[in-house]
Amino acid sequence: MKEARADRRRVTLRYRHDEVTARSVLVIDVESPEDEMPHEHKQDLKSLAAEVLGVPIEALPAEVEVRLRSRHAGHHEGDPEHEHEAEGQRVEGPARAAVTSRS
Amino acid sequence: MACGLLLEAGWEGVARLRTEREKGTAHVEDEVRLQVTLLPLLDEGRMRALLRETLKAAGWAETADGGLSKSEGGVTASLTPDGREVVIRASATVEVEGVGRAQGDDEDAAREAQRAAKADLARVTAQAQEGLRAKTLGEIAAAEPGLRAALQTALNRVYREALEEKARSMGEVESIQEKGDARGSYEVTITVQA
Repeated sequence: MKEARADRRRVTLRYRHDEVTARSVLVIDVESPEDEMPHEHKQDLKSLAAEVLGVPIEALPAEVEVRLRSRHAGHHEGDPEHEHEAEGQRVEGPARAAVTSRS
Repeated sequence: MACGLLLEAGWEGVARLRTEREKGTAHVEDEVRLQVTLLPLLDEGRMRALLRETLKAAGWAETADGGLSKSEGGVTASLTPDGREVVIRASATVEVEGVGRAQGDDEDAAREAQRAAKADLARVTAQAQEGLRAKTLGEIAAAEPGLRAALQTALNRVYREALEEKARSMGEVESIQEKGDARGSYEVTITVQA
C-alpha cells in the first residue's frame, strides 16, 4: 500500500454488516498529516464526516451508527493509544419491520 | 256378521320448503412491511437508484406504479415507488356459498330464505377467512427470512457501490477489499487519499 502523502489524509471507509446482530456500521478512519495537532482532531473529524456523508453528524438518522477515528500517519493501525474516537450515533440495523394485516 | 273397519285417514300437510343460495368470495390479504433505511453516503436519490439497480439485477421486475416486485414461494415482495419500504404480501381467495331455508312457497318465504342465506354466507365467509389467514401468514413466515436475507445482500451491494463512488469523489482510491461469511455478514473497506 502506498504511503500517505504529508499534505493529504488517508481515509478508510469501512461498511460492515453483522448478520448475527443484524447491525450495520459505517466506520471512517482518518490518518491525519503528522503536523496536525491532536486537539484539532475532533472538530476535523466532524467536518470530515459531514463532507463524507453529505450531512452533519447531528443530522444522521437514528438507524445509523458512525464511528470516527483518527490516528497520526506513521502509527500502526489498530494501536489504541494513538487513536481518537469521536462520538457517533448508534441504533439498530438498516431494516425494521412492521406487521399489518387486513382482509 | 258383517265386519267392517272404518278407517279415517287424513293427510297432514307437507310444508313446502323454500331454499335460497347466496354465493360469494372470501378473500384475505396479509403483509409485512420492511422499512428500508439507507445511510446517506450519496444523495438520497442516488442511493435509492442504486437500490433499484441492484434489485433489478437480482431479478426484481418493474411494476406499473413505478415500484419493483418479485414473487417467490406464494408471496410477492414489492419495493414501493419511493424506495422506502419493501412489502411482503400474500393473498388467498376462495368461493363460498351460504344456504337459507324458509317454510312456504310464497314471496315472504323466498325473502326469509334469502335473508337466512345471506346470514349463512357471512358465517361461512368468516370461517373461510380464518382458514385462509392461517395459510397466508404461514406463507409470509416461511418466505420472510429468505427475503430479508436477499434484501440485506442487495443493501450490502448498494453500500459497496456507494462507498466506491464516494471514495472516488474524495480523491485517489488506493484499495478496495471485500469479505463475507456464509452466515451473511459482509464487510467492504475502501482506502482513499483525500
